[in-house]
Amino acid sequence: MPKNRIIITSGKLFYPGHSLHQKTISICVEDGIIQQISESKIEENNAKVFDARGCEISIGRFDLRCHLGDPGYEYKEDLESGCMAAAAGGYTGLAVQPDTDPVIQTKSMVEYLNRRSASVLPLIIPVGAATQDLKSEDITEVFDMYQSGARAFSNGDHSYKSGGSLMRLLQYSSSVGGLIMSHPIDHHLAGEGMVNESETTIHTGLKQQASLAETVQIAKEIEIARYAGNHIHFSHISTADSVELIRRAKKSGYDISCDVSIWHLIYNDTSVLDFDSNFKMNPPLREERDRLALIKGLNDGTIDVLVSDHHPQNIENKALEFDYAAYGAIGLQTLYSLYIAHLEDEISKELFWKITTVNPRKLLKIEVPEIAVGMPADLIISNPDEEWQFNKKSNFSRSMNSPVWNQNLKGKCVLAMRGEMLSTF
Amino acid sequence: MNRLSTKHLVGIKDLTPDDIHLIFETADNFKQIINRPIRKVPSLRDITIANLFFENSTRTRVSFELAEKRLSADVVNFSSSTSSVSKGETLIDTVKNILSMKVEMVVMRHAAPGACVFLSKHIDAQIVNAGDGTHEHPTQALLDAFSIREELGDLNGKKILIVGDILHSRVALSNIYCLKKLGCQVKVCGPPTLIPRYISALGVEVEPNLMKGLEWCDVANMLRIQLERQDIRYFPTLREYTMQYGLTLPMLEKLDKEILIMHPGPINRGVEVTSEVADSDHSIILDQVENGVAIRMAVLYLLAAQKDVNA
Repeated sequence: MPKNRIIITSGKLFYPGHSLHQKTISICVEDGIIQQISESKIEENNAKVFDARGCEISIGRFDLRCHLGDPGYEYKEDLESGCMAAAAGGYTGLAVQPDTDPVIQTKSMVEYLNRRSASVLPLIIPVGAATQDLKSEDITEVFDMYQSGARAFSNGDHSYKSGGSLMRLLQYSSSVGGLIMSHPIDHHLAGEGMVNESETTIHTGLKQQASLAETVQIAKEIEIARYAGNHIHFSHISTADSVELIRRAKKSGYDISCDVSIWHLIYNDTSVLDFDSNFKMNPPLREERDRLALIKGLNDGTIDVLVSDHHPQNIENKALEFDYAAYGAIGLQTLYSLYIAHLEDEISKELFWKITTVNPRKLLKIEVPEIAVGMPADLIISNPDEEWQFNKKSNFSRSMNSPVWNQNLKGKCVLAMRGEMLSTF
Repeated sequence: MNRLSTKHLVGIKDLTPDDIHLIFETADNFKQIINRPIRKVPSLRDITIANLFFENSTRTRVSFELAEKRLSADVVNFSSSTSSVSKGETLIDTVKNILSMKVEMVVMRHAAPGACVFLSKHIDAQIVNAGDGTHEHPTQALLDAFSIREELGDLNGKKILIVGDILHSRVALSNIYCLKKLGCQVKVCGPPTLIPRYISALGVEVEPNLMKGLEWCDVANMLRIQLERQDIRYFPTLREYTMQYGLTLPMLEKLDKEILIMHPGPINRGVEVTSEVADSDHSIILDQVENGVAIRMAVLYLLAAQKDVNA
């Protein structure tokens, strides 16, 4: 007899390519394994039943770029709080950035994350540091970390300052495996610029950063990657010129990929005119034409993945003068709602599904969950019409640095499930 | 129309041309008053003003304090050469502590752009910006425009050249807003590395050549080179800066007209202007300083009147 029998009834399956895509189905899961999928009623004896009428059933999302602060910054976020926020946002998998304290740059640190993640709902994929202490000098033991479960390597929110170091990293890791992720900013050109350089931000007196700082770095790293014969992935690209550069390079056969953050798709640099530090992002929010180019880039396949870029900051680091405030915003719990509110007309549901579920997993070469009998359950139920407010009561993160704090939102994940772990919201 | 349209003075950007004219007219009266034998008026009696200077300042702080005292306000001063953050206390905490001592108005100078906007969202007191980083310095712009008006009359159509470090200058930004609102034509002149790329969005033109700029303008405002605000080198040496953008008396004598020379102070003599120019009849630098007190009295007086309306 199964110990744990769960039945989800009358939800509409959203899984493009699946034979039951867009059909109203019921699913029976026993001890974390899908046992039955049916368009008709499933016998409910002794099962926990979730009524999914009006809701969508889908596989869980995967976030390719988030910061959880564990270890070292648990006062901003720890693995448990970050994972609850993620599950409430419909995520069943996360690639966690290495810029913690200490930095995730050894086998033992990767194993620490593996151990800690045994008790959380989402699958945690550690992203190991690409260079020692993220300094862009000596490369880390990527082989050892890969063997322990790291599936990507990055410098966190530090750019590869040394082309030579990046080249050796790409060359060396080509025989190891793992996605090499880049935060592409030429730090000399960026200087201390914290807002986009534009006709808009000139009114703020804040230090400006030309979009050139990003584009130049991407151009350089594309060529280094080609020379090294390895794939490179650009994180949270933000400018129209970057999109065009990557589009052309992809057409010419370069082995590259990239992602964009939800914030750069819904806001532009007019958001900083009020000096609200919740809009202080790295890279900065750019012009409207950049925002539109990013949406176009997603639609034509230039941009592969949509990320939350979840970056928790405690109030002491964030509720400050713009100059002194830390970068970033929390995003895991609200990404789906923001898609519904701002992007449904620009990005189709099919594409949103693909860039938040399939593509990130493919880039990390991990399995894409299936909704099929005999497979482990990895699914979420979302109610696109449910209205809620993102506030102290509903927030699962330890931080509250969000541009949509205390705002009313629509669209909510009501259940997340991976294997035997299940949370309802 | 004898009320301002704003509760705070965080920047010229928020003022209407009517606001600026009202401040000027009020300052006209105060200028007469401060030149009388009895220079003090009771307008702000029982109003407490805190001068919070988180960045070094001598003339602006003294000018505000004098303005406040001539209006009979009670004044408390807080100066800290380091930012509040580095002392372990946030700006909000510092200011809330001071406000709990029942202060109605805050005059603040701060190194962070937007610090006054930030503060205005967190506290109830009225805020006057005395310079926030590279953002705005509204009372400086008002006193500059007031000084030009005193010499040349109506500002509409007047040609103003602003010379120097435009990129790091709050005086430049506030001056541009103010002068444009009053109908002036404005050009900026300085090393291309110190001119913001999108300066034309402010409705001004760039004149790379100082002599040509002087030939064009009615007034030249020579900004201080603020080495302390430059994190990297934007020009090779001060010597070379002066060779291209330093104003000398022979240059003024070559012109076939008289122009006014301004400087927000403190002057680096021999850099932006030579001593001969600073001390010449062209210069209205000391008038600017005198007008600063009258303008600040007008601003404080009009903002205090706002509070009565809101109460």
